[in-house]
Amino acid sequence: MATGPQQKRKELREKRLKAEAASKGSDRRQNMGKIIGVAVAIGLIAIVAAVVVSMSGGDDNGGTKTADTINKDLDGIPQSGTVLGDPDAKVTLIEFGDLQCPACRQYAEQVLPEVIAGPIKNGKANFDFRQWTILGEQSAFAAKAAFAAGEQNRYWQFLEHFYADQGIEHSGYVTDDFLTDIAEKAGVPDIDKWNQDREDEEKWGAVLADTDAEASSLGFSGTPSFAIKVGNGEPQPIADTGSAESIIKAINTAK
Amino acid sequence: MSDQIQLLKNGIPTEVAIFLGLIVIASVAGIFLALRQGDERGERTLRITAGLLSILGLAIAGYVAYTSVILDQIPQCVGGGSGCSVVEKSQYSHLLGIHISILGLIGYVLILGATVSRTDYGRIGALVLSLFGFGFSLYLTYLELWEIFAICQWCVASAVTMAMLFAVNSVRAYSYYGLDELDEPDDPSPPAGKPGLD
Repeated sequence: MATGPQQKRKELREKRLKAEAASKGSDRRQNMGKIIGVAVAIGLIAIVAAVVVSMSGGDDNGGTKTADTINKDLDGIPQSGTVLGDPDAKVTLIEFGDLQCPACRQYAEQVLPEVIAGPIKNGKANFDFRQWTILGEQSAFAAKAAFAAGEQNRYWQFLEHFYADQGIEHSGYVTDDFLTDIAEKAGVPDIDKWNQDREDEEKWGAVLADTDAEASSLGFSGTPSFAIKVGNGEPQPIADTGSAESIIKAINTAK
Repeated sequence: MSDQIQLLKNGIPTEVAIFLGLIVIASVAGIFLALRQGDERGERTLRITAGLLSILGLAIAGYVAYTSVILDQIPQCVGGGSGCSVVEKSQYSHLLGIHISILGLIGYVLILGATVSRTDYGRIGALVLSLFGFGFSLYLTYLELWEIFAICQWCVASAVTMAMLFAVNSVRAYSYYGLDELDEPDDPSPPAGKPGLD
């Protein structure tokens, strides 16, 4: 058992240790505040730097097409119904796409212009865009309007202008007014006839059903999917469609 | 803004939303448990939580990197949809020529390393890295919703994981910075029970 002086020394020591601990704790909090502040500042500066690099580093290789670009891309290429290019070309490139599909829009803006400017324009192949309306009723509504534009050989202009004004899938933007605006931008000469044609449910319903069956038989699971057909042969899926080069290669090597 | 909400509704199917919700709930539970446990056990709980989140992030970034960079294919969105494809094909999928998923992999590895470390360097390092990851994820999510107009579920899952890592590492740095320093045996007195100098 501690004697009187020992007890007193012990109490004094505990008091001193407590005071030291309190002082250390206070120093620690101050130190921590500074270090965490510096750390957060470094983190924020790194974020800003990364954002600046991201915004300035990317090549603008896409973007919404303007009316001028659309006209330039399609100028001088014959059209018949859903087919762009020489109707007698031996090879047919077939796209199974949906007008509401954003990936199809990106292909139309970033990949396909090179294909159209190459083998489609020079007559090596023609290009058939099949309306595979996997995104539902609004897609079918839009597809029928595109078919009706095709009746006046403005199908491809309609597709391109639709993509240029494409909204968010299923958001309800595909209205009569929207489609009429697209048809006018696409230069459909007779809007009254276009309105009549697009309401032919029986005709277009059958086309859509056939396309759906064909895409399924080819084993496709999403849009856009591409196939190639030589003469009257059966369409064959194109395995690599990641770039314009790979699609052009598929056209050039089709037998 | 309604377009962006619609985009999220379309792009994130229920099963993915539930999974992301579970990640958030588990992370928040980890934080509360750690705060209740106190010093050493609490920090251990936070480190385990951050470690699991880092491994989840590695799995997400690893899948996207493997699919995009090694297989040269498009990552598949759960429940279909073309959001992953659109984001993958956008100009924002690379930073300085490096695929974003590779940067994510590097980030998660570094955060995991900082989580394993029980020092103040580890605590502060994890905070800085996860703050950077969280901030950059926010920027990428902004790009998806306002610039690309498509939602990639893998990117959203990574953003949620980074947000939780930031929360966990913030608590760890704030509550446990200097823990080792306080534990240092600077008391010159001998262990209790032995004859003392006092």
